[in-house]
Amino acid sequence: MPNLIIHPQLSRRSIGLLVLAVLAANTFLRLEVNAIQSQKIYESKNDRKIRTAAIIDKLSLMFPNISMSQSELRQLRNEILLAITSSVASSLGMEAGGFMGSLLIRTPSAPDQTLTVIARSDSSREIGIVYPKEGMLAWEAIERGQVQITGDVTEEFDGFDSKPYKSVISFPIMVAGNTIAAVNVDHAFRYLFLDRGLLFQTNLRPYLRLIALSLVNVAETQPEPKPGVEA
Amino acid sequence: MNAMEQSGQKERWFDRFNRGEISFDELSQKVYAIDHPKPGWQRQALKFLVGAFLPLLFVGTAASHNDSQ
Repeated sequence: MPNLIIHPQLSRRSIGLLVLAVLAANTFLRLEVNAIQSQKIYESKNDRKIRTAAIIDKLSLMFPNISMSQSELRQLRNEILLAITSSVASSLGMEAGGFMGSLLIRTPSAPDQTLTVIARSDSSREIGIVYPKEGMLAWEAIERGQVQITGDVTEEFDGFDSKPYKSVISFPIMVAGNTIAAVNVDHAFRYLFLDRGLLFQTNLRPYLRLIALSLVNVAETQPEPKPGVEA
Repeated sequence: MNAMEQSGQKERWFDRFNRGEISFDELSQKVYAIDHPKPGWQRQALKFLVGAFLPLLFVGTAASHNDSQ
């Protein structure tokens, strides 16, 4: 067994300081290694999301006319919005139940004046509601083609005092450089989405492209009459 | 450029990729750079101070303390 030779003049204080130096250097190196590893994991996750979104965009060019009944289309959008709220909740380490996703488009009869909610992630809030463009975060997202965030909608906008939500994030849905709709995600807690808009924009991109596909590529068909039921 | 403007810039990169103007690798790098801006010099200086200077300070103090014995 090798003898551990310690210099006789090395005091306890010196040894303590040396141990501290080794610990500090070790912690620093470990933090650096962790940072590099998490960057690599994020880059790979980032790439997967962007690739998936690109595949969806390519598919949307290959299948320009998908026929679907109104109820099927509604169900499809509902499922995509559920995937969005679930992903947002997971990123924040929260329950998905408190989040609501909504899909808004320009109202066909007044495209420059109002927005209409055409789908929700759950049925507790109704669809078909028409909102004037003034003070709407989704309108800003559509007009600017940028992600919009508010930490407290009741403080920053008029007319939202009675609403059950505070934090709202709005994503533009773009097709060929034009914004055609917006997806809103809201929650009753304040300041949930601040400083997270850019990361959500990348992470949610596959789902947002599916929403774009459901808006552009799908044509609604009339529901077929049930057998035995006369028109 | 604030985060909202950067989100618009990111959408434009996606659009350019879809039109075949840039490669996937270029798009991925652009998106990563927007999502993860480099820390400012103050943060990097602090990191250097804590990570490299502090252990050296401990070693130096230990050595000088040893010499004075």
